[in-house]
Amino acid sequence: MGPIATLALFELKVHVRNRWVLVFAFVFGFTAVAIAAFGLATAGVAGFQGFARTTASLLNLALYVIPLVSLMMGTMSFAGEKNAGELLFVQPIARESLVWGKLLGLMLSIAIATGFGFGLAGMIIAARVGSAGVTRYMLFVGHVLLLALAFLALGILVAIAGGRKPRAFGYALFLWFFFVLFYDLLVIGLTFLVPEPIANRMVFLSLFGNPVDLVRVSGFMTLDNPTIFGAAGVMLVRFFGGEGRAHAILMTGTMLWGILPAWLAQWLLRRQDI
Amino acid sequence: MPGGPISRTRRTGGDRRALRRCAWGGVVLLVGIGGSAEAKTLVVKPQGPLASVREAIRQADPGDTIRIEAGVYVGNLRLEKPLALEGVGKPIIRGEGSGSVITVLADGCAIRGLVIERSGRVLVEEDSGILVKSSRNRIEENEIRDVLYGIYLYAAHDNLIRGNRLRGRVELEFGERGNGIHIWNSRGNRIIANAISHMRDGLYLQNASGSLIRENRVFQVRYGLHYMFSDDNTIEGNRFFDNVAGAAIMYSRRIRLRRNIFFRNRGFSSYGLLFQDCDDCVIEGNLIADNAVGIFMEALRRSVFRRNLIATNDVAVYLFSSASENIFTENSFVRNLSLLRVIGRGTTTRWSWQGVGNYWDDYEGFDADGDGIGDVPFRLQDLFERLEGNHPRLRVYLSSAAAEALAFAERAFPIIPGPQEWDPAPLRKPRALWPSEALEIERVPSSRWTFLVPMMMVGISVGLFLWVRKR
Amino acid sequence: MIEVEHVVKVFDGVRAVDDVSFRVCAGETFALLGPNGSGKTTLLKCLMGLLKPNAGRIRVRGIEVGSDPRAALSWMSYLPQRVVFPDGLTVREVLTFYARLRGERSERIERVCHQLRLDLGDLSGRSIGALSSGLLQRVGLAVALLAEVPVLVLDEPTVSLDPEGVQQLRSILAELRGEGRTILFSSHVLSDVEVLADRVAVLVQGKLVALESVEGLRDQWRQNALTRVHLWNPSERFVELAHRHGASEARLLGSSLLFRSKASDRLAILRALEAGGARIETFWTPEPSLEEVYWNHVGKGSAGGTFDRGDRVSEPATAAGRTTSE
Repeated sequence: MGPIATLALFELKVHVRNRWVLVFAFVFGFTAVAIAAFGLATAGVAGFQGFARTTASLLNLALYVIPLVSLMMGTMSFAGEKNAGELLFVQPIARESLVWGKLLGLMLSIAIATGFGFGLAGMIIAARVGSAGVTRYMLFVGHVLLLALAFLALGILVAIAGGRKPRAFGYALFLWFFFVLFYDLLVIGLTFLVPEPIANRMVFLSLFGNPVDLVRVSGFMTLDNPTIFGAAGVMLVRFFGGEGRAHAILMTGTMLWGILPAWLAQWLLRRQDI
Repeated sequence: MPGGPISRTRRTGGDRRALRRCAWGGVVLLVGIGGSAEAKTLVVKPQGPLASVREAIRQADPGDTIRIEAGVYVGNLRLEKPLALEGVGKPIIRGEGSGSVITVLADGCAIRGLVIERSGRVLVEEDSGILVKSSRNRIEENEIRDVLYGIYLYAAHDNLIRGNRLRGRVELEFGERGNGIHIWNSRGNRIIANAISHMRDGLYLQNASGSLIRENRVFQVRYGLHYMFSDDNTIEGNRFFDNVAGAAIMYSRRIRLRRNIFFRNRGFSSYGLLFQDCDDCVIEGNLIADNAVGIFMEALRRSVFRRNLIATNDVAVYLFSSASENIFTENSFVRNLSLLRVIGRGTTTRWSWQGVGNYWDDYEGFDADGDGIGDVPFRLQDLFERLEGNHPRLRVYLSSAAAEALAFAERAFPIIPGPQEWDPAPLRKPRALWPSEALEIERVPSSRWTFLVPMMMVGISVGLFLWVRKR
Repeated sequence: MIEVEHVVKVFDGVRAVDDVSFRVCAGETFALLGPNGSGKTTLLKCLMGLLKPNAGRIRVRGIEVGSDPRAALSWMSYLPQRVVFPDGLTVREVLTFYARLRGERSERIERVCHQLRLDLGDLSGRSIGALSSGLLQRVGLAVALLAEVPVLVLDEPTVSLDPEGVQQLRSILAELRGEGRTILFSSHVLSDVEVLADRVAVLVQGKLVALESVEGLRDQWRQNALTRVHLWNPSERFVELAHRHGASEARLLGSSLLFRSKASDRLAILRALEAGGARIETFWTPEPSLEEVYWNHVGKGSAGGTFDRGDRVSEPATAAGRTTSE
């Protein structure tokens, strides 16, 4: 086993053992199940929606919770580690392996917890409305995991760049607010200051500045299709040159949000005093 | 055919049927009074003495029946005298690949039980499975496939089109296909219980007043029902699903839409039900669900929407300010992503009638006096949704925290002026409900195997968790 | 084996390590001695590649730590001052992880634990977070020993141990030294250094103030040993007398006479005092504290009474009260 795999498995084991994964899995699972069950309970409309469409409300849950949890996890894994992890840092392995290994391990932890929650919710939905569109659901879960990856990487970056633990957590919390709320408000505000055609292009380009936006848009496009955005959907698809390409480009954007901060984090870490 | 004459059609001796009542006008349409001594039946079969349908038509006298037994009969047919073509064992009438397969020119013909295929491919020539240019014909239980138009009623009145299955040319683009049942400049036709798919438009009506369209299933076409300059029509119990758009009703008056299903019609700027320049329509008891836009109304006037269930659409109602004096009452709005998009300034739409509003599933008001009507008016749009009306790009922020924040900010500080749509008497309980079984047929079939996917997700998660925990 | 050349490390303008150079030979046990904050840990972290020196070079087996840390680290093991492990895991799991990380076989774990008298069976049910600091320290040492590398670096290894633990650690280190390993450790306890080290570098405020064999250090101290004599009849006369008989410094403090001299001259001076009429009630020859050693090197030049300093610091230490005969 290479050092990255060893580190990832160890990290996963730590989170499994310290019950963090367990707690998150149950909280997330409970919420997802509640949303699925409540969403279907509305009298008289059960069954009108396909599997995927029913789960659109799960997207909101994911968009708030996953960034927060991932940021905290990512930050914790390195902010707390610096003094405590000397033993790790003096092993003859590259520092970038530390970043990638931990990122992978954290990713697995979150994947287990969200897989459990989304799986339970999916079972309920499948039992009630049939399972047509379940492949889209899988894709959607994939998008959510990419979102987790992006924010884990951001959390690690913040921990490495931010230095001391409380400061790093402060930064992490700020990032959460920024990406979940402020960024969009800012862009919306700015688009009213520029002429209409530029504003449209600006909105689409601005998506790439925020992994939450990327996953929200591609999540809706996966669960439903671009028509959900009405005229904006037409413009969006035209802007990216086709629906398939829009999917691919948005997904690539999200992946870059996972890779670039992690790369930056290891770059900083290699040059840093522990 | 209000006020139309009583029509008689001779039928085969074995198919004597009782009187049938025409649905409207109280006028009785007599069908199939047989037993006339002169009427005879010619039998066509591939190895028989009479092997050609065309030859049989030539030999037959008006009022005769031609029985066509199973087999393939190549060649376009023209009915220039009142005849009944009766298929036994689904004989195939194969066209020549040009023109229409069967052209009906005489009044009072019957075409029944045939498989009709291979029409021409010229749109402007109306190349059809069955081209009808006469009146009082019956076209029943045929299967029409590989044709440009399915059944084309060309200045043809009082026909009955029932129980046919029409399927267009899948390989063509929508624009290259013909319509399923195309009715032009015709009155008093009844289109009942047909199944139409893979055409350009399922049902196309132009200058076709006094039509009855009932219990048809239209799916995987461009527009389920495409409709203009046709007044006084009744559209009942049809199902329009999986089309680019459900029904587009334009430039018409006094249309009655009852108990139809407009379901899962999705596409860009697509809709379940569109009205443009229509007056005095009644839309009652329909199910409008899972469409990109549920109801799209531009210049619809003095119409009533009552007891419809409008559910799970991306946008429930798309309302241009040119639509005026319409009334929504007793409808249920459930789980739509957005309720209302208003384009332009405010409208004169009334969201209640005589103190009875609609059911809105996200209504949070209370009903202190217990009369089933909420005591707090329901506002249909928040700030973000109002902004979206004139800035469609903002839709990209659908269900984002920013959108929620803007809506919340407006609730907290209601300083941003603008037209508002209100339901002053929202219902506490839905009154328009459809059982989910109503949609059972349209549901995409699901296999037991795909149910395993979420189960596997849980299984893998739990398994991995336990495995890591143990070792 | 280890070459430290002109290493400088600056934290926020403070030179925590200031131009330090020394070499550690193969098979040698080398101590870094200094009070808290003297830069020992910083220097060791530089050696382990945890910190990047602002100037100077550190080489291990000829490999420069700064340019190829992985290669350099593969010759070394390190025991940090404070050992922290993630909670919820058992000792064996942690050891397995580190063994895998270093590509060692799991049999190695058994051997190391045997060597360190760590009973894994005893510890199997317990989370590593629940262990005492001494036990943790030993697990940390086990991690350090997992890899069979020639250089072992320990940062204050005795600091969190009880006397028994210290004893145990000393014997383990002696064993390792017997195996021919090069050991570099830091400490602020002189006795550790005396017992374990071959050579010692003394760090004060980031500067290397002495670099000697432990014997030599002791000698140096003996050159300037402090004696405290309690007299029945204190008198300025005896100060004069002590000076005359070879004390480098002497002073009367209450009823005590304090003087510094070569250790070998001590007896002669005491005799001379007695001969000169001094009635000696008792006398002390305080074990030299670490500080005393520094003052021997640094303090000579610094202002202030050396006795006061030496006195004050030495009293809580083992001021061995002895009667006349030495």
